[in-house]
Amino acid sequence: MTGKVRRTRLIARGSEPLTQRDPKISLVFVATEDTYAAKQYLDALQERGLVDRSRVEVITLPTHDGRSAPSALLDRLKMHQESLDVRLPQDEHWAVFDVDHHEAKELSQATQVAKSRGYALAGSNPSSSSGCSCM
Amino acid sequence: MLLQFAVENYLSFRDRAVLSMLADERVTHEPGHVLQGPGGRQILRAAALYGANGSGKSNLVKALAMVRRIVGQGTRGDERLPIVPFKLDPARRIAPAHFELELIAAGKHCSYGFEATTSQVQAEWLYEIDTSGEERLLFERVAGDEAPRITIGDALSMEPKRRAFLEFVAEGTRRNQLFLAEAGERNVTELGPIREALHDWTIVLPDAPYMPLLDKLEKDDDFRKLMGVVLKDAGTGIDDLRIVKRVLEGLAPQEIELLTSARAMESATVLGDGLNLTVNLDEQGRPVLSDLLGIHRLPDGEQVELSMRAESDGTRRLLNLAPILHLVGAGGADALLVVDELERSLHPLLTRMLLQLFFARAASGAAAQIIFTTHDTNLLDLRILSRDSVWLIEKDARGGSVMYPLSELDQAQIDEVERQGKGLERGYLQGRFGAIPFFGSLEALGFRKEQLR
Repeated sequence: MTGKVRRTRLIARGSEPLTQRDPKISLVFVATEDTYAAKQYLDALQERGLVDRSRVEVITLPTHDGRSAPSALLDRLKMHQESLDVRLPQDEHWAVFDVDHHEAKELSQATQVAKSRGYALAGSNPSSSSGCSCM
Repeated sequence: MLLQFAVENYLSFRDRAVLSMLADERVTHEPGHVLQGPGGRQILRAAALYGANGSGKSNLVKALAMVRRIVGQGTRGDERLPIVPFKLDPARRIAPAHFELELIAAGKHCSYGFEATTSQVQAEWLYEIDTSGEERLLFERVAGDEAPRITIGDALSMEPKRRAFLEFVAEGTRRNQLFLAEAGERNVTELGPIREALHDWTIVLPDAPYMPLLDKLEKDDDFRKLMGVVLKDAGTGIDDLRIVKRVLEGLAPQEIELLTSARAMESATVLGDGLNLTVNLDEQGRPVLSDLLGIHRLPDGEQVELSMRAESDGTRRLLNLAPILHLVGAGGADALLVVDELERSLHPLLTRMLLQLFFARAASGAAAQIIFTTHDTNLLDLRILSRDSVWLIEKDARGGSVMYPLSELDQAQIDEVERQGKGLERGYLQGRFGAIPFFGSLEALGFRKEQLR
């Protein structure tokens, strides 16, 4: 009779899931400069719940005179990483640069440093596209 | 004994949320933290809900309180059901709310649930489930065009005269009344155990006084002794309690009725500001106000009596929280304690002590369980709460509450977080388990999110 009612019945915990949530508890740290579009994209994605709000932490680096050295952003990321009292090997660290605002040489050096520290890099290029591309 | 509670389309619960009290087979437990359930299953004694403000923790407590209330008290006449659907979705606003309970009542595993809008119960069902999982129908209901259509199952009664009576009760059940509530009013004893199981739930809201406090202090020596020990050991400075009474003069009959009604006994709003004031009629029918005083003994032996208004928020909270400990333990019946904001006004060590006292007393008694909401991260200690007892609750992008237990997250990663952080508190505050506040816009005020962690 109550065919339309979707009963839950007793769930056997351990063998049946109670949630669809991603079980991973590693964190993603994204360092970006505060004046460029990358930060606004990330903030908007978090505000809309498209990027996990608790597990993705956006670290912003204040810029001076409209620009900052890529190396400063990487140092900021390192400082933040070292400040964490609990770290997992699965944690990810990303540095996002606006490629329009840095010299190719600077970016090339930053790529080497990031690689040596195990960081991932992403370049945003707001003048030619609206997204980020991984480097 | 509660096994599982499910709620959907009620307050912030847009999608179905399930709170399970079954122990996760993969988790190891301290001996006092589980009960033996049907079919050899282990049942948890505790469930703790963590989440940011506004995540929906209290709404789960409200859902349990609402189910208890409408099963126990029913509705009068064309009174509306206290159903508040999820309002951020137009389709949900007009859809029924859904509630389901799996529980043990008088030794039997029952599955009870209903769907309802504010104006009518659209579905209601009760099954008994044996240890092999076989279900037997007690009753089932659908809305029907004119009146509810309720089917009485053979498991409720097969005796023709009794069935005729049950069908008569079913026919008289209004659209806005649960059959289980109507059955209580018509003394359908077959359904007494499940109604009593819900009646025995104790729900403690953050600012509500424990209304039977004064009555129990007067009449129950064991209760009075327990309260004395807790108040003293918690360092409140109170050495004893005294009840003072005075006759209230000049009240109109309707005012007297209001103050002495059953609803006044359950509602803090009538008597005000969370104090333990009660009004009862004496032998001559005069309204008598009872108030509570705390007695403090000074080093020179002098005794000072202070009104509860002069005591701290923490002392008042303890007075209204500690009685739940009396419900569990030797001689106690099965009890489900539901506490919203367990740590409200209490020092973290005191909250911890209360929870440890609960486990210690419960171990020697009946099937006591506690469900509580909290922000107290000090309790994220596996010696106190097993991983399947810790629930996280947060809002999704569309504003619906989503809840999940810690035991469903990556256990190897949690082991590592626990090892490095010497517990789970740091991992939670870092956001690894979700269910923490989102400080998205604070940067506009000059703060940086990472400074807050």
